[in-house]
Amino acid sequence: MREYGGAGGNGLRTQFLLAAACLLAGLFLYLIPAGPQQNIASGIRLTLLRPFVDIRSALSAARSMSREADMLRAQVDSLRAWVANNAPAIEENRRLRVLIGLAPLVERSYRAVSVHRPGNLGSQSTVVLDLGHEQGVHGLSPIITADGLAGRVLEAHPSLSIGMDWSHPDFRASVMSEDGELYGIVGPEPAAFGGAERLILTGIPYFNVLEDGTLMVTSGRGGVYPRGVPVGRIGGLAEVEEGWHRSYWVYPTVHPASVTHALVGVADTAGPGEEVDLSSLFPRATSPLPDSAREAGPRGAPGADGRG
Amino acid sequence: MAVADRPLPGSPRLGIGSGVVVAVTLILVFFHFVLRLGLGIGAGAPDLLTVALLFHVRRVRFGTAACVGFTLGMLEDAFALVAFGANTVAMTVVGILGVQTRAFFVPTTSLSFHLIYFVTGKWLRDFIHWILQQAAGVTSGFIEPMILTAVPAALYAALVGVLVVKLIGPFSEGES
Repeated sequence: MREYGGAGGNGLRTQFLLAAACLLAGLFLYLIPAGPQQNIASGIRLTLLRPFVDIRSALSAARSMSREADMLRAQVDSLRAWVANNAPAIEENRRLRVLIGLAPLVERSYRAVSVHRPGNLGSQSTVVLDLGHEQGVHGLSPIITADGLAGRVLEAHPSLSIGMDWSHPDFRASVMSEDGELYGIVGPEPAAFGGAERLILTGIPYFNVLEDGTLMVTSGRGGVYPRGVPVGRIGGLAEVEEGWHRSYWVYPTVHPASVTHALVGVADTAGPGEEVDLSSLFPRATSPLPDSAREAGPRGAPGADGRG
Repeated sequence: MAVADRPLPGSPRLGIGSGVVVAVTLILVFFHFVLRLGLGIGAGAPDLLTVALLFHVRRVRFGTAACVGFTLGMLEDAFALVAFGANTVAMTVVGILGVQTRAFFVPTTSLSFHLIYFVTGKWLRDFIHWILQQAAGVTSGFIEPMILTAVPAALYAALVGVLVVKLIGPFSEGES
């Protein structure tokens, strides 16, 4: 068989130029800023690869309807009972706020979404949501599961959104201890060999100590994530700078790979600088310290001796 | 068939039509995205995109191979939020190098050649991607991603690649 792809008098030169052009174009795509990169990626996602995403959405919907109906019914019943039990307290709170002249509670609306993971090489932190800006999803919508914070939306297309989970290198969240005493910033930290992926909490003052197992929740500062959503539990001292600050390992309450359904913030009614509090939605007993954190032990928390 | 294209008497009949090559490549690409994106199997599915590239580039010139690698890499990169372009570069390089193997390895129906070809190609693609990810700031160790993960993935892809070659037909006899 003759190979196809061009042959002729100056075929070799043409082939060389073609190969060089492709290689340079690839390097160009790799080196340009993230904005144009994602514009190109969006174009491919919404055209050539869209049918495959739709297959996934259809399968997910079918699976939800068939296998998870009983579980969803149980959750709806639980929620109905919870709402019924708390309705008097909510009404009482509303009246008290009026009496003492406080503004009404700020509320944020959520929609249930199916969460898909592409599974392609290099897309480890990417999640695809089956709702887009037509349903009110926007570029900073938080993605929340029953266990806590999973990530946030990066791009909202008409009926599809692309988001990142907490393992993305750019993920950051302002968190606080559950009692609201200590505040810091969490970001992802690559897993050590054989260890679990985890977050690192920075910015804790030197003279404040956090016990292992302390639940860290979102503080609501910055306006992206609502207040009170569990992020993870303290799993050891990561780094200490004498007299200045401490850093801790945080083992997330949400495992991104296991997330198939979540809530995504839509039609945000919170104004600039206003905080939304979701603490009451997450009972204190939930989300124990993950097994991976216990198994890791001293190996899982390098620098526990304070040497970082 | 031109006289120059006829196999030598007694030699195994090698090669399949370019239409079949393109069709098989497109089918492999289609199933790659069905399995990984549509069904969400992820790493549980073989990397059919690399298999398609390695299968295809043995039959084309290196400029065309680079274009095929570039296109398939772009498709794979569409869901990469970090190190976008890493797959594109990796698959372009692997496409070009895949063509060069014709200069060093004569066309053969040998099972071991096909196995080594697919294993090396897939591992090299993962290695280039890993280097570019490191350069983009996605730090990870070497042992876990490149030995414990990439080697089994390369073997998995090679098994599928060999199966495809056995089903469809051996690589082309070579240069025109």
